[in-house]
Amino acid sequence: MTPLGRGVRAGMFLRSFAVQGSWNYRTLVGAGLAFSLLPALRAVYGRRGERLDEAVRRHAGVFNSHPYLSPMAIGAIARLEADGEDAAVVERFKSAIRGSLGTLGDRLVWAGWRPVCLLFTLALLLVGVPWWAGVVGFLLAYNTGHLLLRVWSYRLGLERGKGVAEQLRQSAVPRLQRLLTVAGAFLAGVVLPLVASGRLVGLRLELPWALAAALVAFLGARYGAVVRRPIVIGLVGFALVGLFLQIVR
Amino acid sequence: MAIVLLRVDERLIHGQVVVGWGSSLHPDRIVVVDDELAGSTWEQELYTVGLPAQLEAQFATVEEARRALPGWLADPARVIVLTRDVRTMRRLAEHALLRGHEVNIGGLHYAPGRHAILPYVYLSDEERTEMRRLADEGAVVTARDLPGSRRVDLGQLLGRH
Amino acid sequence: MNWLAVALLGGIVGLDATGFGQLMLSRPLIAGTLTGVALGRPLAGLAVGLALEVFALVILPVGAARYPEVGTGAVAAAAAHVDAAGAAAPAPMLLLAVAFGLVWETVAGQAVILSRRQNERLVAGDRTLGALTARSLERRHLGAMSLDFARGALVALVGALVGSVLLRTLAPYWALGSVAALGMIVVGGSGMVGATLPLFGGWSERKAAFVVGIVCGLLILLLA
Repeated sequence: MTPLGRGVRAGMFLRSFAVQGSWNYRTLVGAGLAFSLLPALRAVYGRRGERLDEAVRRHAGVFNSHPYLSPMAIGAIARLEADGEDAAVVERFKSAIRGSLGTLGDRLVWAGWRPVCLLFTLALLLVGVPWWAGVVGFLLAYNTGHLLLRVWSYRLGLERGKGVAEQLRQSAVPRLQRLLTVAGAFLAGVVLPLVASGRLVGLRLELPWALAAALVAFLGARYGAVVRRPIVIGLVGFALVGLFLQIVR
Repeated sequence: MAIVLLRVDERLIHGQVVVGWGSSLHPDRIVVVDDELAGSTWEQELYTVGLPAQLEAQFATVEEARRALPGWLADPARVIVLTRDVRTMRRLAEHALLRGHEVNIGGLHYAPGRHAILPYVYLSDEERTEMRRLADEGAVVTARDLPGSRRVDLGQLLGRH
Repeated sequence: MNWLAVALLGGIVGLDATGFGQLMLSRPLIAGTLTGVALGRPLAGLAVGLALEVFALVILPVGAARYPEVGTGAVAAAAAHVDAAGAAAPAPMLLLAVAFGLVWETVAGQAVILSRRQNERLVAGDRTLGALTARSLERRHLGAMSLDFARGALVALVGALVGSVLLRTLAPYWALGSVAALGMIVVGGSGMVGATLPLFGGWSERKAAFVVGIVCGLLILLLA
């Protein structure tokens, strides 16, 4: 059993920010995982040599995770390697964890924390909060949550190794996720009238425009993300028509 | 029939299955057929972390699954059956147990010795043989990652590369 | 225009989106405003960033899905907007900057796909995987990140240049007036805000929170 010193632990945590640095369609973040694990692998297998390189190749295969939860995988794999766990067991741990960390992070962050923070910032900016306060406030608030998640998940991985699942299930994550969706729906409601009234472009619009906006918003709420493409095409098309009319005249 | 999806996917339970297929098939239960996983509690716990509360997960060996299969077919509960490789699915299908059923190849990713067939399907020579044997048992083998994407049939899968 | 600042921002934003950090400097709201700050017109950057942000809310970077790259697109559109200011009335200028941003996001998304294919050759090629060493892996991984930075810089810079020329030459021809130009952004933007509801569980699960939110939003409008 190899102890993972403070420098090794800090090194892996910092490298975890670059876990997606060589994202590719074949091994996804595999190389990034091996890159992040290197401080621990060097502590276990020596600074250089064939045993180290063999361990690197083992970890450079397919892997995926939500970036903010990748420290959990990195911490747990480092723990297993340091404890001298069998390579086959480490591989099975990686297969088992990768789908779960992706699903969990997507729901918690990409469909939760991020849009909630953004909608809140949009609401503030649209009621007249100065631009610098909105931008700085967003970056501070969002990244406080972001960093807490990374630190928490890293500690969990380092401490629990293979047993992270039990802790995850008992943690506040499922409740938090639910709370974020309620907050998100509420904030989407708050932002909608602010946008539709014309504040998005610093204008008070006449009623017909606001009604059109309400109708399109209804379609959006009904059909979700699939409305983006037609709306974008409609907007770009409208811009082109508005230019074309004058040019042909 | 209450088996709504038979799928080979080495990631087993993950977003594409739970959210991607789940939202159009509305399954009640996911059964993972795998001899090793069926006896390993710590791995089962990891695989089921991201699962929504209303979706039940079950792990079975190939033998258990073969015995339970007629029951699943008759059961009104909607079941998704997953294996991590083609070989396990072929063993499940032996003696024409899955005759006429569609087997979905959903995710076999890059590994040394495997060649790219589709962006989400890489196959070794051994897996191509297993796939043919699976078809010989009467299963209809097709590849499709998500319900909305194009279905690729066995001939196209084995014909490529 | 300060081309160096645009390239630098494009590189940072391009890297932040996936390769390093995900501190959300790559959100259109932040990237657009920072571009405005760098070019001396924060509010012009903010206006483009706000609109593009609303259009980016529903895009989720899930799995291997392919999506537009909103960060570098916003840098390019905001830079073009600042650079071309004064060539026509502000309203059509904003509409065209937003429309250009929405188009350039998809161009930038294509560049991301190319860079991910390049990464595949760098760190996951048949021969590479079997011959990796600790040092070669580190070198290749950091190399991939440097290329990603260069990609972001290039995409933002070319976008700013193309956008600026387009806005200067086309905006004076706008035929439909200011209200229509801004109204179109508002109508589209409202649809995109509505489209975030399914992200949080949809109407069936979250109608109470959504309706209470709308009432609060209307109250804010009345009181302000």
